Amino acid sequence: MTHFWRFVGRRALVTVPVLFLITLIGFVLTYLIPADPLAMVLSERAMANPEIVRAYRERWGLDAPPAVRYVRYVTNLVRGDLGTSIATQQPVAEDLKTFIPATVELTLAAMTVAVAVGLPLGVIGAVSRDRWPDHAARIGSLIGVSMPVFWLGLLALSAFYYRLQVAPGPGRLDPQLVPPPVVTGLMVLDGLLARDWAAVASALHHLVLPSLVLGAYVMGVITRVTRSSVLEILAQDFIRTARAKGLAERLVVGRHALRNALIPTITVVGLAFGNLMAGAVMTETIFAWPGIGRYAVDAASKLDFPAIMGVTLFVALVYMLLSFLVDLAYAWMDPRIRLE
Amino acid sequence: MGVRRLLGTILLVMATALVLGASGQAAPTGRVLVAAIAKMDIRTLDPHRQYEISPPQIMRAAYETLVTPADQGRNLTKLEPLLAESYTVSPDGKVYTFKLRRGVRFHTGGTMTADDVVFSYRRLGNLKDNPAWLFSDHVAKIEAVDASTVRFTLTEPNAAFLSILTSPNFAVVDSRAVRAHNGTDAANADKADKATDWLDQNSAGTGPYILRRWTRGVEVVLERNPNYWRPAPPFARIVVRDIPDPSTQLEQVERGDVHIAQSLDADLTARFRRSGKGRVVEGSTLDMTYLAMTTNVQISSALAERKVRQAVAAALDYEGIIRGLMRGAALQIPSIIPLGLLGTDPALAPKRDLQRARQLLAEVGYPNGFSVKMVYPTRVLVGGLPAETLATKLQADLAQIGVQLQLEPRETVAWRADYRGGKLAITIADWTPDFADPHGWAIPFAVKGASAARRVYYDNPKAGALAAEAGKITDPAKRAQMYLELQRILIADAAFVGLIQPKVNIAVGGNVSGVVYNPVYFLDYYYVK
Repeated sequence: MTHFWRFVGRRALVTVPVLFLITLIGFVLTYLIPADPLAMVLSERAMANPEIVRAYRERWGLDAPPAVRYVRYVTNLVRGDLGTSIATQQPVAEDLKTFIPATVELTLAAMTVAVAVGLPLGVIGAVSRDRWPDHAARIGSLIGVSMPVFWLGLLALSAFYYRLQVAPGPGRLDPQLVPPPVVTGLMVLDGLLARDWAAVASALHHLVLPSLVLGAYVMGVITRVTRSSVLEILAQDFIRTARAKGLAERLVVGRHALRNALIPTITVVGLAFGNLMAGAVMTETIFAWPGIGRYAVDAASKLDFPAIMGVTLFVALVYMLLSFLVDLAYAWMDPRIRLE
Repeated sequence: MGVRRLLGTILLVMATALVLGASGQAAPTGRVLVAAIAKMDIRTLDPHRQYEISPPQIMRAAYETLVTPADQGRNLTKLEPLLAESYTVSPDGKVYTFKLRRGVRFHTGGTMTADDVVFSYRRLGNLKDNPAWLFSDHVAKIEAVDASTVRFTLTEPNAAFLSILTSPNFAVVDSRAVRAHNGTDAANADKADKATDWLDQNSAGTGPYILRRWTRGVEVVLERNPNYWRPAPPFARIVVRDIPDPSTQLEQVERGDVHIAQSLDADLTARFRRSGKGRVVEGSTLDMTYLAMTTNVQISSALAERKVRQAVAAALDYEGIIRGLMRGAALQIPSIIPLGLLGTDPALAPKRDLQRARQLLAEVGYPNGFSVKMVYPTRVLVGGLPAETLATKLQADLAQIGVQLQLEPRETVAWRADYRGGKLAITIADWTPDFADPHGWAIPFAVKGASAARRVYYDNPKAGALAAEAGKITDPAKRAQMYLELQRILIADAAFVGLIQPKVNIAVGGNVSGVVYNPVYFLDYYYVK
């Protein structure tokens, strides 16, 4: 167990310099853009009024030289203060707290869909290689991988919301309902906590389409990766041994092949989770989902340094956490892999 | 296998939700109006700080101003009292005295007095936020003469002053309520005022609807003001939702989930008209897209020549831009003052004349044209037209007279810095209104060194003097003549060539009426039925 904690400690220590480096790169990049962030928030006429410009520079600390600003930023960061967004004029931590849960909820739902559908499809494909279930799974995954999200999203809304009328419109909740009090920010969970069953049902209902759309790509990838790795494992000696000693095919595949084949799938799932978190912009836009992707795009287009850095640090943390979890999962799945 | 059972359960729950959700839609209590905005860019709902595109319609529902455009907001050239009962202007045009309507009550319960007006406008100026200049550039002194009389002394005579006062930034707030939430109108309000967080979620105005809640990136919810001073508004609740995708907005209107969709392009508008599931309310914005050409010989020796700029203006296919690029959802703006304002005339608009263009070029020694770099922003201009598309069109138009545009797209922030710095020879840009009076365009474009003029080093003393003078006199007929004259000069100088004044198309669902577009506050929910 000490071995395990040493591993955790080492990983945690690495994050500090990495995050520091990220802030430095982010700051230099922002500073290299030859534009005044004030010009992004202040209007023409306000820019012409020296009093307003002075008050703004003072308020946002833009009157100090860049080096001082960077040191100030990092000092505040060490104290846990991410600064205040120039665009929303809210503390960045507040903004992140507002927008991250929506994305997390959507991503979790999408991952659930992707794994729940992709994994069995991959196994079925491998087991029934070159027969019709395999072809069906391959076509399904091909569609998932090759359909751009914005297209799939519009198509899904048009078909299930507009024409068939079985899915709700965009948003996280029926506009007629009052959202449950925010505790976790995950609408379904908050609804459960408030025992507001109408909200829970509406929130789940609203999750169905966007999570299918967002999860489609990952589902396709998982299917393909699982299929090929299960195929590879099935060709190995120990599988022949298992079959030779008369084990039911269900157990051969389920216990022996799948567990060994899951390593590459876990890598994909880990990476995909990060990608979904960081790249749900399109889905969020089409489904009017108030998530971190839209916040990030908005921050970037307004040169809102504190907000850009806040999102960047968050995404970096997510990736580091995921790669850590993936490593843990490797060791759990395959005892031959050591945590080092 | 545990995992399989878990996955099965999740799928089952999702399937149940699909069924439950489809059948169990909650019925509204009282009439609810749902409006959709494509880019809800609200930064704050503090009326004295907001300066983005979507807040004004919310402000207009919750707060009121002293004067308002006549005819439910249709008539931009005639203003009528709202919170004021009447007003007088001193002969020199510098002192405006307003008599306030009595017995108007705030959402917070108090009764409006002159002190509230003074507090509100001082706060607007002293917060030194984005819209502060609307007050501080124009007003030297504001005072409460008695409980129902407010007097403004202007820095200089300003014919646009009443028009400026219709801006939602001139909302009258309950001074006691705002003070109670640590608001202040003192000179150090930019540091001392802490009322914005409260005003983001509550309204302290006199308007027909009360702000109930703003959920960032999701929606703003307003409720009927039971104590409103005019006849009660018709809706129990108004929900303004952020629906980023316009075609989804339209599907929602067609299904009846949304009643007003605010951002339709030409294709969607045509589709909605065909569907027969509601009406399209059309309006003309005061936005514009224009071509700017430098007059500075060091930036471009060719374009610094007036006749070259005139040749460029004569070579553009204005009709093709409006009909083809904008699908008819725009007007050709004659110069830089949008149509619909005082002193504008569509007949002034230049027309394509290639022969004249070639002749002008020949006269100043460019019979075979010349080549020049056009830097343009990599974004979508007002009215939804990508700058890229317009740039390509202009390139094709000018090629016909031998003027070769070398197109160079540049990231918007970088482009803006270069354009503002006067470094660009020729570019396309857009402009949005601050208030609905020609003064708001004449000064920045026609006066030497002003914000737009200095980007192309435009300097014509006659134009500058006309713009300044027309802003001071009060006789509308005379002002109109002066602005017409100013536009003729600007067209002849061709440093700025007006191209596009986009229209707005609003989709309104079947049983909703009374939607009137206004270019300053978009729409007034009070009149929506």
